[in-house]
Amino acid sequence: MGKMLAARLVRLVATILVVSFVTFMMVNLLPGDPINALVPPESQNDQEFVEQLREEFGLNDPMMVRYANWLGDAVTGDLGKSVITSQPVAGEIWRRLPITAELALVSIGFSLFIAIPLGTLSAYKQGKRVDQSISAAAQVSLSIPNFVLGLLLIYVFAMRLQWLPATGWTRLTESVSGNIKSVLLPAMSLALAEIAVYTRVVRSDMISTLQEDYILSARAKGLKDRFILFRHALRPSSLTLITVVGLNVGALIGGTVVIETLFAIPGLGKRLLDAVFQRDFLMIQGITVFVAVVYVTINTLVDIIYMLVDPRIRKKA
Amino acid sequence: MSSPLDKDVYAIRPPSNRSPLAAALSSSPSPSRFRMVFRVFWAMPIVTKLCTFWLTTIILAAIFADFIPKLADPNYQGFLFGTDVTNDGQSWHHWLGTDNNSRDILSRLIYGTRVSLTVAVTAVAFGTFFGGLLGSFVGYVRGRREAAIMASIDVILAFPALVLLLTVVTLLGKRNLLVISLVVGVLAIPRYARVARANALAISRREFVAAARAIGTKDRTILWREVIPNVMPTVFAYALVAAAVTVVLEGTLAFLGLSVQAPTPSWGVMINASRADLRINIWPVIWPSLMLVFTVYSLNNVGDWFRIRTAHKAAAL
Amino acid sequence: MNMTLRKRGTGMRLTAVLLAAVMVATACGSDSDDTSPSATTVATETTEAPEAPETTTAPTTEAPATTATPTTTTEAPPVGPAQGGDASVGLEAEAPGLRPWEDTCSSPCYNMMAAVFDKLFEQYADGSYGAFLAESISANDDFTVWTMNLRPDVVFHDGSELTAQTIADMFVVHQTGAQSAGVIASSKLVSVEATGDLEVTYTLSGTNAIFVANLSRAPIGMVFAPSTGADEDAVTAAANAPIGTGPFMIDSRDVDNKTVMVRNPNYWMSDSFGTQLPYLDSVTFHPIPDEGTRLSSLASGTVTAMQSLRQASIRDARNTEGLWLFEHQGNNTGGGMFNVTVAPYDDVRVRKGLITMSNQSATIAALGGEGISLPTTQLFASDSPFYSEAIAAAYPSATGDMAAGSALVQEYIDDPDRSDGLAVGEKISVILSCPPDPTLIAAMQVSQQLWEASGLVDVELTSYDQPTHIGMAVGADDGTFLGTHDIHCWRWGSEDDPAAGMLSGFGNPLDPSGSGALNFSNWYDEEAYGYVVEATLTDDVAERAALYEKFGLIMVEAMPIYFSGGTATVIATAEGLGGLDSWEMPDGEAGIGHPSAEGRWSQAYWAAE
Repeated sequence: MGKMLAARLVRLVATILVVSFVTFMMVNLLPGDPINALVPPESQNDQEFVEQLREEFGLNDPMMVRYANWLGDAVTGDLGKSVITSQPVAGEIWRRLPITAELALVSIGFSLFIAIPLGTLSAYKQGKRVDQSISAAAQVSLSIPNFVLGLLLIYVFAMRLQWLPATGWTRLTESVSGNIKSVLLPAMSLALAEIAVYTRVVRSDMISTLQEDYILSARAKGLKDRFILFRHALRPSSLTLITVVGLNVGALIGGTVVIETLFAIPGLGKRLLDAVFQRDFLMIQGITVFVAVVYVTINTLVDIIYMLVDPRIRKKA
Repeated sequence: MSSPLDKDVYAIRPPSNRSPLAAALSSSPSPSRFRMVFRVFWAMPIVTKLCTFWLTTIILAAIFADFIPKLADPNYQGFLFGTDVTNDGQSWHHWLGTDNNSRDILSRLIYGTRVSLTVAVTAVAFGTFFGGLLGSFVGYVRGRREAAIMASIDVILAFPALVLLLTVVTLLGKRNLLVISLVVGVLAIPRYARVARANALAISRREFVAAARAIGTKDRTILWREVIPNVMPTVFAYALVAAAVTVVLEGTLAFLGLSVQAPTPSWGVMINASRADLRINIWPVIWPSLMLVFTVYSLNNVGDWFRIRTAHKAAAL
Repeated sequence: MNMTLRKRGTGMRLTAVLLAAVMVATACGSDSDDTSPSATTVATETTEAPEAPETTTAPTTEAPATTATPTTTTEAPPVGPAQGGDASVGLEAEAPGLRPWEDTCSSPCYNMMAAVFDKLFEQYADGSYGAFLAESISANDDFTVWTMNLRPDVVFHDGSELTAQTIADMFVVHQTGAQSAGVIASSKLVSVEATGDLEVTYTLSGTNAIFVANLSRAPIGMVFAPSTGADEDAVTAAANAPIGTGPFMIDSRDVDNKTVMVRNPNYWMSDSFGTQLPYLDSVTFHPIPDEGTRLSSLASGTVTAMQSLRQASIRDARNTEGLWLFEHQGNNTGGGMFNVTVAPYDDVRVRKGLITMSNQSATIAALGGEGISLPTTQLFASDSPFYSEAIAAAYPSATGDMAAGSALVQEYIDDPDRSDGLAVGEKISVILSCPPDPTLIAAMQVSQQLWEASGLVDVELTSYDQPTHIGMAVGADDGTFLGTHDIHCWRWGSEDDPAAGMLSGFGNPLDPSGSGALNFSNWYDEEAYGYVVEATLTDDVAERAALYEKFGLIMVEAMPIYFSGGTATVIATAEGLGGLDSWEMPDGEAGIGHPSAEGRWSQAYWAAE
């Protein structure tokens, strides 16, 4: 058991190292450099000045040297400074992480809130009209891209009805109600597709669980259906759900770019997009590695939890 | 060690002993190919039939777009020559109206199908081929090679897709449809590999594989003759659903301005280009969105149906 | 195992249909007309002078779904605006930092900078320069030594005093600033000395008759506390915590989300009624890059003002109820430039032919700017003192002339000595490149369609992100500064004095000293440039206008650049928030308003209902 854990951890670290190296290499291959975004055309013909800036940002050193420097600093938590804003990269990530994380978590929470009851209902009334309608609705909602949905929601709720703000973000620390208002539309855009996926997962697991013998015996005992569903059936059915949700969180941390752009939310995804366009090397590197770390860590945690919970898998190694 | 995702969690209908597909395929002694296809089609529920019909129609329309009579030129901006009006509503001339450059929307939708489907087909073909082979190989041979390859696949999974896409697209300057498709394909390999691996693991434990090994068949032959042919159907079944995801991904890229170069139409490009005029004419945004939703829904629906059927086939082994 | 009978389809179908119906119903619920105001059939229309205002307009209340006509001029109430109230402004983009010497800044960022920093000089409504933070300035005969007197009793936000020494210390920071270093060089500034308590002497290395223009703009015209540029840590902190003398002080800055500024209680300026400025208690800036979302935010009340430089947004703002619009179209114009060192654009017939084939009105229409943006023919708007009728007449008409243009290109194609080395009769091949903004892409496609319709041109469209786009034009990579572009989208012109811009924009690209590095089209004519240089030696407007006309007449014959419509800009505010067009200089005269959607929030106020 301990051996497997150790192996997993080694894999985690190796993956992160490889990701960071590949990113570094790729970003270096990009044509152009941050000088274009930093220095106005008027100043660019001043060769000395431009050279001096390049020296300052270490743009002239060979790639391996720069990577080694970066890695050495990164291990201590110093991810360098953004070329464009000259603010520390780690600081910016730290400031924006809560926003993207909140967006991801709220959308997942929202979808779970709807998906678990729906999936349970679906499994309970398997094959009946309710089940079919829910499945059909799930499939349709799965087919709507989140940016189309976002556009639609802005159009309806912000432009026409004017119930919610179309843009901007109020931090939780400033105003709870403001925060809720600013997170609703973007979270809903993300949540719809998730609801579909989670509903299916819950339904599928629940169906198999409901066929177990202990459910039959609980029924025979005369326990109410609802009680059985939520006390006995839900827990064993949630295993796959936990896995899928966990992976989704990781994916969302890096995948909210479009929603953030549409709703003008100052999150990690938007920052990454801007950084790539501006060739802000260290910011790209920092955010990519961070997202990779989050994803891989969650992945590993989920695997470990699954290993702990399901004894059959433990034996297989 | 299997992962929780290796279960077929997305089954909508409960497994049955004999799938209609198997029934359809084995009812008569030696049916012609056409009759087999027809039987498969007939076995589908109505909605899936409609979806198949939709997909077939748009694919044919896309391939033979040049030969459709009276179909306007997708790039012809009539308002420059006095023949058309920008942002026009539906008319006999333009069944779906015109966009802000007075181009026919219907024609652009049809030609746009080419882009979306090319990306989807290439990405999926690439992903299934390499991912499927890789996964089968890994699931069969196991051991250290498995660990190494799965670790590398984890790296790809851990990468924020956006960074890779942005970098590659920016690197190449001119936006090449083929390259975008290949990058998306590479990003999809991990998922297919995992599915293939799970199936290969199961297949490898079957008696006929053990028997083949017992009589001294080379590993390579077993792999190609026994494992892969039994794994691929399941992988291909995922392909349709993956195609759906890819179509959405292309739309997302277009939203960020990274899809094909103007004036080539694609659904995502159409949505993005017409967003600025959303307030005065919503139809140039609605039509491509509907197209996107219908097609993605159809791909999901048909893909699900195939996935369930082939899963049975594998289970029947 | 259960084997329930499944009823086929109806439930699923119904749900799907219902969902689709809901979506469609929501869309149809809008009141978008079928006869939308911007639907155009351009080719059959004659070019009518649209009613788009060229200068600052008074606030007007718009009715929905009608094309706007600016009507009444509201005057400032006789008792002067009242203090109080807050404003929140939606900006086009975030400012990477608030350091005038270091950070890139354009229209949205200037809204913020002007709130925190004062400039030494500002422009009057007619474009001439007047004292603002400074009190006066004078130059010696050959404009190489400038003596400036500062206003007394001005304090920074941190309490320190503004003295001549402050300006001298600022210069030290300027010399290494990413933005300021280049301007120092191009303005010929050599040294800045404090020659008195409030007297500053600027010494230049050569004649610069319009040096005061440099002192009216960031990076060297904005006054900041030199301590913020003292060392690396201070510089890093200053990006988000600037210290200036301006009407507002930074309260908090949440990059990409909002920047809050509060009233400076010790601001030195009062309006002509004696009320201390600023009127507003606070201003909050929200960067909202998406155009549609920005207008929606204003319409729904999330923000109380917004700025835009897109014609489609102006059109939509005009159709929105409850807004005051401050529109402006000045000298800034969009267009494209040919890289005249690359074949076939090195031949004037190709350039002239392609431009003549284009249809500027149609391009404007495709961008949604019908009636909003005016076609341009030169680098100055028709209300500028430097505008020339002669040049306007020499430039191709706004609707173009396909026949004449084709004839010119045909001449080149039939020329056996054609510069692109292709055989006689072969089409020319051009590459047109614009950044991936949807409006620019739409405009690009108009050009492509027209040029290809002639049957003589193969057009390839490319698109690079903004920094790369600029980098290609600059051409710094290969050291020649000639640029690697073909036909490149670009923008020219501003309300500033043209002297510096013309001087650096049309210099000799092959000059080893780098004077032509900013000549992106690489077109250079010695005689024409001579006129531009001459124009920097005098400050007489009429003389300079004549010189610029001589330059322009030569340029319009060579046609290295073409125009696709003036840049229309707007600052839209919630009804009641005014003052952006009527702000005063310290002497009580009217200031220049809000060129390029740069608002002076110091004198914005909420009008009493």
